[in-house]
Amino acid sequence: MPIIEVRSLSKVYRPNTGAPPVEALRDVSFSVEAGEFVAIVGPSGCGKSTLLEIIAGLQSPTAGEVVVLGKPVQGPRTEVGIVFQEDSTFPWLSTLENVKFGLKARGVPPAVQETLAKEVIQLVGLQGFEHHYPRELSGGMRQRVAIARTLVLRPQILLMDEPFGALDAQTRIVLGNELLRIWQEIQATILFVTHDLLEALRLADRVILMTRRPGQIKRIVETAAPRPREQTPVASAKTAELANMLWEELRQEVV
Amino acid sequence: MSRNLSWKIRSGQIAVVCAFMVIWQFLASRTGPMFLPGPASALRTLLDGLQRGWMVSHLWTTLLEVLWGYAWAVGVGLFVGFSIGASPLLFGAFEGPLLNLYAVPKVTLFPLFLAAFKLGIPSKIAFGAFHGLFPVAIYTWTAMRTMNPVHLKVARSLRLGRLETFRSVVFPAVLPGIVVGLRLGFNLTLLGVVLGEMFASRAGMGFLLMSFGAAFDASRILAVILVLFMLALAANALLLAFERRVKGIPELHLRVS
Ligand SMILES: Nc1ncnc2c1ncn2[C@@H]1O[C@H](COP(=O)(O)OP(=O)(O)OP(=O)(O)O)[C@@H](O)[C@H]1O
Ligand SMILES: [Mg+2]
Repeated sequence: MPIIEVRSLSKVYRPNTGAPPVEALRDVSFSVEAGEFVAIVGPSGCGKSTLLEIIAGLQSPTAGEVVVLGKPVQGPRTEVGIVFQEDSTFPWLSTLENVKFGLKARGVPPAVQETLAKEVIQLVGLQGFEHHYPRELSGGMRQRVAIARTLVLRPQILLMDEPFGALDAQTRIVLGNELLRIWQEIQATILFVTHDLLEALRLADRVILMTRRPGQIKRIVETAAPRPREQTPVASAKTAELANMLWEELRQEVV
Repeated sequence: MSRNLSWKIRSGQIAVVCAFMVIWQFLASRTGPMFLPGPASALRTLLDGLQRGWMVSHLWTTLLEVLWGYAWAVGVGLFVGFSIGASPLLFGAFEGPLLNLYAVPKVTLFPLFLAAFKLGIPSKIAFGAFHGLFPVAIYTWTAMRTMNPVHLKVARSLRLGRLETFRSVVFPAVLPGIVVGLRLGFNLTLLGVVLGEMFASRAGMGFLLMSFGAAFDASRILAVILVLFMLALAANALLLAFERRVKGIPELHLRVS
């Protein structure tokens, strides 16, 4: 049984400012198996963030439904963690306090909070910056704080909205490899939005390609490379071929 | 580096005060002590007022009124600000009317306060609070409505309850905005209290100002003004320090580097 089932999902935003309604998603259906790593690519504004937020239970769909772990999504769930596209670090908390935030909310004992948080901070390469505040960190470092804050909770399902968007190419690859390692270690299911086709192909088992707004699924590609994988700067011939094909499809959507 | 810098800032501030005194002395010597006594004479009168006591009881009255007025301004201001900030309905209904009320010279409403609270201390407290609550409320609701929505999404995705969301996300997020309102609120509370005393009262620094004004006692007027100045400056310095602490930005950076 799939761990995430998205069934004929549609979303229309009706701004209460009197602006015309925006159809963000139209009849989107797919499912994700437990333990799978699925990437979503698509042109800007096609509804990727909307899709993730609906799966996370932060927004309600206009039509259709999402079933997570066998139950229809009605609101946020503890099994689901989300990393937002925009900077979501709390500016009034240090790196360490930011990472501990969710643990504290779950009532984890302080000593355990400390150990878990430090472990994850190490993992995302922010050791030495535990007591810095977000304004003293670079954009990419802040993004890693946000990733750490979600990772430390070890969610079964991890929704990541362009989590590496503000990172340089090298750190992207390093963190991508770390993510693959963590994914295998905690046996999570990951839904990963990115603009980077190669990144999508190298990390994911399947890549979902979306059309321009209103977002529909255009194509789903299996990457089928053996695991465990290690990302390298130069893609394999097979990956490059898939990337070219995806690019051809995507180009028609980007006006 | 930080010590050096703050030393420079301090000496600059002292220089401004000295320049002010020199100009004052100069003007005084031109106009004569009848109209404008010099700083030394004003200080002497001030000490006299404190020692012989003609100022002390009035100063206490004013302090009492200001403190109570400010307490009410903060309490009511925060309540109104948080309510309006949290509810789009209340915001829609009351933002405009309250901003309009804030724009009106509130002094025109003083007769109403006098009618409701009579001549004594309560009418000054109420009038001071009425002045001070506006910045507190306005800054509070503005801070709430300009909160970064993604912070609320984080709170929701972690399933924080209403109280916990307020305590650990909303409150720290809006605090830097609120403390500015708290500072401006104090300034206006002081204004309201002194205005009230000037118009209708038998006690307080505002009352002294009016009676010395009628008696044309320039040096006592200046003494009263000096005390009010010092009161305002001391409170402002305190609240500014609090504000810097809450925002934590400049000092922190200086200390780190
Ligand atoms: N809260 C909202 N109210 C109204 N319209 C919205 C809202 N959020 C998103 N939209 C609209 O829905 C559409 C899809 O937005 P969304 O953020 O899901 O796109 P995206 O695929 O994540 O884009 P990007 O790749 O640029 O992040 C956009 O046209 C956007 O204007
Ligand atoms: Mg997006």
